[in-house]
Amino acid sequence: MRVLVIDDEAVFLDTLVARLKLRGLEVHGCQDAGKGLDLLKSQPFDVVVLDVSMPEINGLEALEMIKKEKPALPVILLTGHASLASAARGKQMGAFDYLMKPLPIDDLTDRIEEACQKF
Amino acid sequence: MLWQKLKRLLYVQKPELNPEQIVDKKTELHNKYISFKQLLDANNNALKAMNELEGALRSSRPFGMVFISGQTSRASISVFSMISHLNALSGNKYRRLEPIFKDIEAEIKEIIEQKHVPSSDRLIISLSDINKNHTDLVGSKMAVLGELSEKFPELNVPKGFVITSAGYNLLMENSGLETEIQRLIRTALIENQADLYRTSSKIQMLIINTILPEALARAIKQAYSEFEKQVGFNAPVAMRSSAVGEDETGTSFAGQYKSELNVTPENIFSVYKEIIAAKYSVTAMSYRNRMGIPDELVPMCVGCMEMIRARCGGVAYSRDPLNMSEDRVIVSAVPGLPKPVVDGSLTPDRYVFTGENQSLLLEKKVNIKPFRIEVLPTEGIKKTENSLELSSAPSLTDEQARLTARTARLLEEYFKTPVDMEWAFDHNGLLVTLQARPLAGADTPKGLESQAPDEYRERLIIQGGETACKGSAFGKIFHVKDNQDMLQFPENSIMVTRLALPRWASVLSRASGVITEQGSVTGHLGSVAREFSVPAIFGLKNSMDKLENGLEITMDADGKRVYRGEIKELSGQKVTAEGIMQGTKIHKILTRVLKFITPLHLTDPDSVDFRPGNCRSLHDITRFCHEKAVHEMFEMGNITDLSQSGGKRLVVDVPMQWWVLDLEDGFKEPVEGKNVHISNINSLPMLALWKGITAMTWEGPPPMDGRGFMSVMVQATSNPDLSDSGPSIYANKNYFMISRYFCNLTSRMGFHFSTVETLVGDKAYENYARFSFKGGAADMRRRKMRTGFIAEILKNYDFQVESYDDSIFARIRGGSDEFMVHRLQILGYLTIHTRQLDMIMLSQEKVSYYYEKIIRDIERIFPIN
Repeated sequence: MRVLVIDDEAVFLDTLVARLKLRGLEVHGCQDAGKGLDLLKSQPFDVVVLDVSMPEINGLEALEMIKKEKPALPVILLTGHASLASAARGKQMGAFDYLMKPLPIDDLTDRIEEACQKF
Repeated sequence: MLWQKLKRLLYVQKPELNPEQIVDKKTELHNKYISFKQLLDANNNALKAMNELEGALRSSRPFGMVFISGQTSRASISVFSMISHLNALSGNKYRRLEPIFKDIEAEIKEIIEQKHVPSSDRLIISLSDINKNHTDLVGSKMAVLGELSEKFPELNVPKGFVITSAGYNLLMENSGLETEIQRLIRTALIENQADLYRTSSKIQMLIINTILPEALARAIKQAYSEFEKQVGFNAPVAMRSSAVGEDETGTSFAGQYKSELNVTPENIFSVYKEIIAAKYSVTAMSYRNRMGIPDELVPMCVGCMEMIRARCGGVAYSRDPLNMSEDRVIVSAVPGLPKPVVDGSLTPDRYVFTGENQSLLLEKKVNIKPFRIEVLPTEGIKKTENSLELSSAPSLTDEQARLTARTARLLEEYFKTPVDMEWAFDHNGLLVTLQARPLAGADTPKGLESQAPDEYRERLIIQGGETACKGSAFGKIFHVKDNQDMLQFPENSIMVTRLALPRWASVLSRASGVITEQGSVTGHLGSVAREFSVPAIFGLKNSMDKLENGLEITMDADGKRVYRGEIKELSGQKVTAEGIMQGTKIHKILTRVLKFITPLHLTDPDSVDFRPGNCRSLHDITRFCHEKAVHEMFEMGNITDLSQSGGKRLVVDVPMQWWVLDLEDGFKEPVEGKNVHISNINSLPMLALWKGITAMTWEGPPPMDGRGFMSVMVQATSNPDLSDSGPSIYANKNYFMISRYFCNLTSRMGFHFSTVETLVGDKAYENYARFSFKGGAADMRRRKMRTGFIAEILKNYDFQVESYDDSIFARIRGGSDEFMVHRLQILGYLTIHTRQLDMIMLSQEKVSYYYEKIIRDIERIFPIN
């Protein structure tokens, strides 16, 4: 199962990627939304985990672009400081689900597995 | 003095006010009410802190200096706040309390600040070096595990180490993390849900994204390498939160903090930060906010323990939580890790044992367990479906279940209270104790929890209520209704009374037990009962009726039961139970500190000794402030005409004028205009009074003979109290000042003047009502007869009554909301129906006739449920 995690918070991202890998997932981490979107064009992924609150391209803009290119690709949003309202809007825009940061790692693993099974 | 007060309150003609003065008057009333409310909150907080400190002495939970200084500060701050609010209410009448408070506080500080207990700056401590004296350093959960691993090697407590509160402090001080967290909390509106979520998330991410201080990271690495030598190369750990303060206060934080299973060594740092961050989860933050627990008092320690790859696991209760008195050990088990039992996601297998050494398997129920939680080979845990065969197979053999049950009982003996134990069998078939703590709600000293043997069951008279102080007692029943009864109370009797009033406290030194029909265990009387170790059951309904004066009984406060005659197996077991900390330095400090906190010397508000100079403890000050605040509120009736100062005229079908001033939330909907309809009244006590006032149409003044009429005429023209400066005989205006739970009614009907002031909510110990009545048009002899007549009726309904000439002053406190509403209905009824009875009070026969009539009316209209 290939997972792309896009989040600008380096420490959080590194830990998340490392711990998801230990749970048997093939995970790529990306701090920059632009680079993440490029990676999506060049490589196949089963799920994207996307932070809502990022500089330059924010999570909702990135979500819109992903949905345009790959409407069937499941995206799980992570919402940190941003209001829950924007995460809820993301769900209306086609996100599979959203989780509040910080999150129990096993919850995220479960959601990733569910997303893969559904699509 | 009473008359002077009432005269001032009711007769003095009020000056006309200009619009500005009206606004000022309203603001003044509102501010007084707000001060009063804040004083009550502070009182509540102070009493809770005192109860927790007192309870800790005999508790089965370890505690440390952080707990003592935390709860002591909570009590001190609350008491100081009470003094400030009382002074705000009274125009600084009680400044004398401030130096007294400071003296007491200084005594407490001196004891606490002495360096009795060596503090430690160890960032890490091995579980094998931990015991109950390390609670401040490792939290109570880890202190218990350390103590158990040292004392009971056979429990196979997993090996491990703890990142201490000193480690936590180092992390928090690093790069200003603590300052930033406090800034975020200060600038957020925690009561606002959206703000709380945002702040919680921000703080948690701040912690997660911080870099561990080098010294801490180094210490963890070193501790892990030692651990690795004992447990195995690259061994994963179970990381468990252990907050200082957690589980110590009885108000458990259980389940609010985070634990993470099967963590690989390279992720220990990040999971450590996640666990620290979870201290700021939404639930934990709002819990601390609600309980008034400051953040800095809850340092978070983290235990890193050997990960047990459980074949099966679960929870064992050393007693049945639904029936603590039975000899039953309950074992709940599932295959795999015990998590589904703890979080309730599976119905576990159930084994119930009884008898010596749990020899008899009373019950065995194997349930379907569709899944199990397993440890993943790398990191984390996973839900795995069970095969059909495995899902219906027993999780344990009977012998394994029995061994688990015996272990739970062993722990019970150690804790001296029923326990809740998390356990697992590892892949070598070894029983491992993962966690142990006193079973919630069962902090019962060993040996006292058992009820009378079966043969005594037929002697059971009554049961129920709440245990205010544990133990049991044998003695003769003595009903206490008033001061007279207090004076006559026979040594070693068992006091039975309607309400748990603080003034009964002076009887406790002579009582062998206490039973009340109403009242809360957190009130003053409950504190004093515990202080004196007098077994007490509060809220035992109908005990006044079922337990006759002079009857010999055995009361079992733990079992909340009362038996006829003496039961030797039970009688005389006062609480002598020692808490787990007994004999330690910390226990001694708490005992010394408590001498300045909990003893209550000011028990009788009518005594000349009830004055600031006699306050020797924080409890005395709370008692004094509460009593005087109620007194100050009673004088709120001394105000300008409410019709001028912004009150609304009540729209009702009763031919009298009623005015209502809303102090806060007394109206359901905001009211425009000059009138408010009764249906818009939101005040519980006002509605109760109103029900009494309107329950029966007043028949008008009773018929009087020529003598009666002449007397009224003579009085109306000659009584100086009914002079022109007083209200007119036709001035039938009545004023309510209200909030949701508060009501002050000033009522002037003809020559009769009464006030009722009351607070009625769900905290029984705060509830009270005060009633005064004065006046009449007949001569003093008849007015006095009527006074005596009303006093008798009120005493019949548990009021404490004082009377002088034609004045009555009655009070009642500590009843449940339901009880108080009933008594207020009676007051409302009396306010209307005793008017002008003085005119026909010509003989004792008339008095008796009307007494019986009114009691009949009351019992018919307001039956007691």
